[in-house]
Amino acid sequence: MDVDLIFKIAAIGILVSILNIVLNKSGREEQAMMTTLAGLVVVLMLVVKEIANLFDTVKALFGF
Amino acid sequence: MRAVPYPELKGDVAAMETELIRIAGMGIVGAVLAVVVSEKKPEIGMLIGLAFGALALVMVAGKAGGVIQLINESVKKSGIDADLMVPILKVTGMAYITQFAVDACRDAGQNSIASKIEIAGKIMMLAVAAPIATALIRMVTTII
Repeated sequence: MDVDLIFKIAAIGILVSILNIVLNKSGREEQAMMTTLAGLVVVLMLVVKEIANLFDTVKALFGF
Repeated sequence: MRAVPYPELKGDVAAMETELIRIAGMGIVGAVLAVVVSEKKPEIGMLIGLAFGALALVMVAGKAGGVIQLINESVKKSGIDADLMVPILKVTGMAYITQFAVDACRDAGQNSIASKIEIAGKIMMLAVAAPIATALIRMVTTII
C-alpha cells in the first residue's frame, strides 16, 4: 500500500505524457489536453484521499 | 542479558529503525520518480511529493500517539490540570497541518497562497492559545 501509491502515480504520469506525445504527433491537440486533464484528475483523487487520511489522523491524534 | 531498569525503554523502540529505513527508501524512490515524471508533467511530479508526504506522516503518526500518551500520563501523575494540556496538543497538530499545506503550496510555486495559509494558521493557533494567556493573567491577579 505504501510505496505502491507512489509507483501508481508515477506510472500514470509517464502514461499520460506518452499519450500526450502520441496524440500531439498525430495532430489531435484537443484530445491530448483532455488526456492530460483526465490523468491529473485521477492522480488528484488518489492524493486527496491520502491527504484526507493524514488530516484525520492528525485530528484524532491531537484531540481536535 | 541484564534486566532493563526503566520500563519505559522496553516498548516498541526496536521497530523504529526499520520504519525509518522504509520511509527513507520510499523518499528516495519517490524523489527519483518525481524527477522522471516532472520532465514532461511537472504537476504530476508535484503530486508524487504530496502523496509521499501524506503516506510517510500517516506511518509516523502511530509513533507520535505513544509519545502523546506518555506526556498525558506524566501530566496526570504530576497533578497539573489536564485541561491545560489540550490547547498545547491542539496547537501542535495545527502547526503540523499548516506546515504540510504551506510546503505543498511552496512546491507548486504559489508562495502567496502559502503565506496566506501560514497567516490563517497563526491566527487560528493564537485563538486556541489566547485563553491560556488570560488564565495566566487571572492567576497572577488573584495572587496579588
